[in-house]
Amino acid sequence: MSLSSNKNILVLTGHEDFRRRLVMSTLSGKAVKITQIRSEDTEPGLRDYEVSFLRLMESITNGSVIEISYTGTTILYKPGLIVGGTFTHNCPLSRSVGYYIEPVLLMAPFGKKATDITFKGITSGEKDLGVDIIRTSIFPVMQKFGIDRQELRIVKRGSMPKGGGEVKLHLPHLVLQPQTLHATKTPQITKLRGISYSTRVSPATVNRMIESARAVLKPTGCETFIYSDVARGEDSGLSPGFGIALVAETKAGWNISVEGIGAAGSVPEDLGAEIARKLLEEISVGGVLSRNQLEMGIIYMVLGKEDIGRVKIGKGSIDERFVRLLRDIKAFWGIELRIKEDDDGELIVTVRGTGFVSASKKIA
Amino acid sequence: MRPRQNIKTNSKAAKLTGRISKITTTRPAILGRKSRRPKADDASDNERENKGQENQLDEMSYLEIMRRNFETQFGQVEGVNPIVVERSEPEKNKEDENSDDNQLDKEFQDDIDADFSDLENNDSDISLLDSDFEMPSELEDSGDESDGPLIVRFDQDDRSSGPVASKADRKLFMSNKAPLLEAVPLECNRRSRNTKTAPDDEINLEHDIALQRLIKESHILAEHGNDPSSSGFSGVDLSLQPMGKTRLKILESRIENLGAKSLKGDKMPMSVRKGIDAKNTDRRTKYEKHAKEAGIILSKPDFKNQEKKKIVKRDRGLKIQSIGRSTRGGLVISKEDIAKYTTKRRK
Repeated sequence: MSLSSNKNILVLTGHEDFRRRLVMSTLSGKAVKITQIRSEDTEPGLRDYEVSFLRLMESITNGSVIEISYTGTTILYKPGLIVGGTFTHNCPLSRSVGYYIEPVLLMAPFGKKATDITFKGITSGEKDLGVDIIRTSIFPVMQKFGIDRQELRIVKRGSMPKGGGEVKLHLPHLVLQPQTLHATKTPQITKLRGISYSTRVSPATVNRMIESARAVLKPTGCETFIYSDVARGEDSGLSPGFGIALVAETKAGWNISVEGIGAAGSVPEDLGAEIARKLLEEISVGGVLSRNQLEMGIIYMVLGKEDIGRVKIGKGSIDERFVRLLRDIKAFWGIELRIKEDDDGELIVTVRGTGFVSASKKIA
Repeated sequence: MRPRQNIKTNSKAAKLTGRISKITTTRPAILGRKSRRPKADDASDNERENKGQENQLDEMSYLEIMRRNFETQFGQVEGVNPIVVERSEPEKNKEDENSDDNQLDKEFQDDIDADFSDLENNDSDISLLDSDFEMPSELEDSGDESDGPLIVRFDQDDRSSGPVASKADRKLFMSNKAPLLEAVPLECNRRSRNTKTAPDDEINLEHDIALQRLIKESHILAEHGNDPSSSGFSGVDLSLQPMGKTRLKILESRIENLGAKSLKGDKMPMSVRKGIDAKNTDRRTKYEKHAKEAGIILSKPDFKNQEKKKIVKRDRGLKIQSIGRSTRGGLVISKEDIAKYTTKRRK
């Protein structure tokens, strides 16, 4: 085991954005060495979900080299080729399946084969995107970049803490490179929709959430449909739980979404109302890309053709996560984004694509 | 079950209104009547008061009846306010009010329950709890004693308003794919248009198909009629649709017509099948033999012989070897080949 200090290796520190850094490394083809992973922590090193993610990376790539130091605080990743394929991934119960699906969505379109992964574990957790949000709000972003036909089938819903859920992710569309995006107008919202779901609790819970969420959304005067999805019997995983995902649909096809899950002892009405207010807040941030779509949108733009892409974001979207994203982009591709305020008081992000091409679609 | 939400969305209203397109409009305010009297009175209070003032109550109720009679005949007289009368006899009216309120509440509760049951379908729930109760200004001025009719304004949409989410919408949104905005044009629409334009053609086609089927399947139906196992009358025979084995046979023939391989009839043990096949071949050979002896030329050619004729000499590849024959196993040299050379040498 030699963590060789090659000059081509990019050295980053910290445990944050672990997934994104590995994805960027795979897409840019640059080896990365991440040091000081929770080195000050009482439990230093990689967590179980991060190791599980490394396993997933190993499965969907071919020829990647992963070296983890003895304490687990340093990792060297030399990327291989993205291949995709069909397999099952068992997610540990510390994170939900969204944690693993998100990076897969960024890599799978540039693979060699169609990606078809069955994820088992928690379908909607607190920290990561839930499966409903991914389907209703993240897939449309991919479609804007010319990547279609995604499918995410929820076979079983699994709640915290025991999970037992199962989803099937199917990404058959392979592209050479993402299309250049030009979205400089904040779209108008036409419909508010949502999914209220429950596992192993009274089905009335779902309706209680819907009721309170609708009461909050009523003053908007926008038509609101919240569908219920009560998982029964086999489909309902191992733990009781409930949650709600709300989506604001626009005519342009961008969907703004928020979600929340019920914690122990939380009241469905409160959750419904809280999430509805969150949706209104998210809408008020403005911009084309909402906050949970920002990372994917910007990375796809960076990967795009050597052409100028523009996208509008709200001022509220700029937070520390966004800054970290830009820093990582600069580290991997050496490019900077241009952010300029427009007349509406929102920001136009201008990106010049790196001209990335999928290795498996390249013409030799 | 009663979410009493005080929505504070005004702060962002300005921003949101720009973004959210209003589709539903608020209905015109509906005027209703509801007492403002607090319901806090305990039952015990009521009882105590009832006992003390029974006589007065009787008198008042008598007056009340008189007033009502008068009003039914001549209409309401200005100045004689029913609420004022009610005020003057608190116990009776309190009870009335309470019962009224209970009744109202029950109705409301029912409505709300109904809403909960079919919430996901539509925009229909009426949020009575959030509605604003307003006192007309002149009545407010006049004080508590002369409580006039209350104006209840429902600013929320009524249950009848609002679009209803269709099943197709639900399907689109809850499918495995990313939700689409526009529903894919349904096939049923196209079909209905066709039926409108040419209904006769379709009927004719149907009859035609039925007739063709009847011709094709008549032998099966006839067989069924002669079938000794289905002797006697039963309800099955009387029905127009073929039943049982006949139905299965007909189904099979249709499948075969569509190009499927024949299913070889019934399931049976292998030994029985072998027996039947053997008997068949036996019969055929007997028949052919008989024909041959009698000098009859059969219309059917003997397919077994024909198959043999079909065999063409296979191409054995290049013959580049100078001796023996090459096979997949290698070069095979026969004894004769060896003999050729050995004898030569001896000579």
